[in-house]
Order: sequence, then structure tokens, then C-alpha cells
Amino acid sequence: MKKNFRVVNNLTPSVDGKGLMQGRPAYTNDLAPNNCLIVKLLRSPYAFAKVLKVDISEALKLPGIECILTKDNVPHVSFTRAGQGYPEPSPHDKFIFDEYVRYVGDEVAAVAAVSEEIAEQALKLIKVEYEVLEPVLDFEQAYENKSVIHPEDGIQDMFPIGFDPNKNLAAS
Amino acid sequence: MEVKFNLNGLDVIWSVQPGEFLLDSLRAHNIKSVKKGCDGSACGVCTVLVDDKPVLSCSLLTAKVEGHKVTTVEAIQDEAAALSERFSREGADQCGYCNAAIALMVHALKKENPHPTDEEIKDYMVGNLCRCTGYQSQNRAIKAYLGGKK
Repeated sequence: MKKNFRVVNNLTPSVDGKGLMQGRPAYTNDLAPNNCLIVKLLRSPYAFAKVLKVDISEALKLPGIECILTKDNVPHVSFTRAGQGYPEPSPHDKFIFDEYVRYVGDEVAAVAAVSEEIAEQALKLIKVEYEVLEPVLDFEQAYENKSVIHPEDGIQDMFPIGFDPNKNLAAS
Repeated sequence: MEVKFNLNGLDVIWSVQPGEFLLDSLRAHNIKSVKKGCDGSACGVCTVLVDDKPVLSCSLLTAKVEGHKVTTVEAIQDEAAALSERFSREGADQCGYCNAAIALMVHALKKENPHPTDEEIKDYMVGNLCRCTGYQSQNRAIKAYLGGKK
């Protein structure tokens, strides 16, 4: 029994394939203006730590620095980086910059400068004081661990989903 | 410093830093087809042709192309369009970030070896990583393209 379908069994050419193969500008860095600022992130060297102080005063003196963002000058509004569904069930437990860092490489500050070199220099001039905390490295040890990964204020579930941050439980 | 070379058939004189790599010089001069991937000579998306041979532009100082011929996909637009039809037919189009470099590689392969075997295609393309396709569809498309009209 052979059926004719409009789409199934028929070739659907991609809309963007030709331009991409021809190397036409399409990706963010292709479309960014040549004179746009370069942003670099300062990242945590610790798996779990409290950020006590971020001193950006020396970095701000560098000519060519346009903006430095840290936990001290961004809105403290929680959100989630998950986005699979609507309504998205993941608790809102992420901040632009947080007073805690939770993995090696977690973001501590963002620097915007007129060149990559200046942005890199500024990162080296930012002084961060950390209180190094005991990380939880085994998920089987996470529940009710003495290290609480999200002890901060301002985090919330979006509807009842078993969110219990004091026991290191995101959902159950 | 000034570097004189031939880019896609035109003689150019570019002012560059002594330590500047060709990838950065090309993109700074609005040749956006040459992509930055790993920036460490591992992924192949920055491939250009220097005197018709594939070279990783992230690892070649711009000063080294003085007097040479540099080709990017801007110079082989019709070939790239024809190859993209084969890619489309085989379902080999996904994010497309590696595609312009692949077009250059296929162009170079065709010159060196107009009728490659499957193994020879794989050998030639081994330095051009693609995290979308798994390579099977690309290899079919390249084979179909090099195989001629039908």
C-alpha cells in the first residue's frame, strides 16, 4: 500500500544551508560590529565558596574599561537557566552574580572593555576575597549534607515541586 | 607591519600586528566566512587555502602569507552553493558552523584527487570536526558531489 504524502518521503531543503556553506555572516560573532566591546568573565577557582569581597577599584582605573559587573552592582533577582517547558518547573535559584560560587569556573565578575587585551588585564586586577567552603562532590551524599549549596535568600520554587534547599533538594 | 598578499584574486596590503594570526586578520577585514572554533588548531573551522593547500588560519601568522595566495569560500561561491544542495539532500545541514571550511576542503580535494574513494574522502576530511552530523551524511553528500551530476 503506497501512500503519497506532501511531506513524508519528500525532500525538504534547508532554508539556511546555502548561505551557511557560502560563509555568509550568520553567527553572533559574524554580526557583531567591529567596534563592539569585548566581555570577559572572572571565574571562581574554588568548587564552593562564599564571595566576601570583590574589589574592582584598580581594574576600573584601566583606560578602555567601560563596565564591570559583580554581585554588588547587579539586581538580586533569581531566575532559572532551564527552559525546557512552560511553565518551567525548575526552582529559581540562579542570580546574574551570586554571593556564592558553586563550581570551579562559576562567574564572579564580568568586564567590558574596548579590547580583549584590556579586558584580560582588568580580570587580573580584580581582587576577590573568598571564604572557601566544603563542596558536595557526590550526589548520593548531597541530601541533608552539612554543606548547604543554596543557603541564600531570594530563591523560590515556581509551584510545589519538593523544593527544599536547606536539605540540598531542588525537586522531588 | 604591512603584509602584501593575494586574497581571493585581489592583491591586498594589510596593516597587521607582528604577532597576529591570519584568522584574526581575516575576520577583522570582514572575511566572516572563516570561523573561530577551538582557536588551537584542532577543529578545522578556520581552514583557508594558502597557495591552494588547506591551512589552519588560527595557527598561521599573517606575516607568513606575504607574497602568497589566500583563498576563502568567498572565492568559490558557486561551488559552495552546489555542495550545499548535496548537503541538503543528504540531511547533512545542521548548525552549519563548519560548512564553509568543508566547502574549501572539498574544493581542494577535488583538485588533488578528483575521484576519491570513500576512505580517501574520510582521510582528507579527518581534520574538519563536526559536532552535529556524525559525518555519515556529510560523507554521502561529498561523495555525491564529487561523483558528478547524477
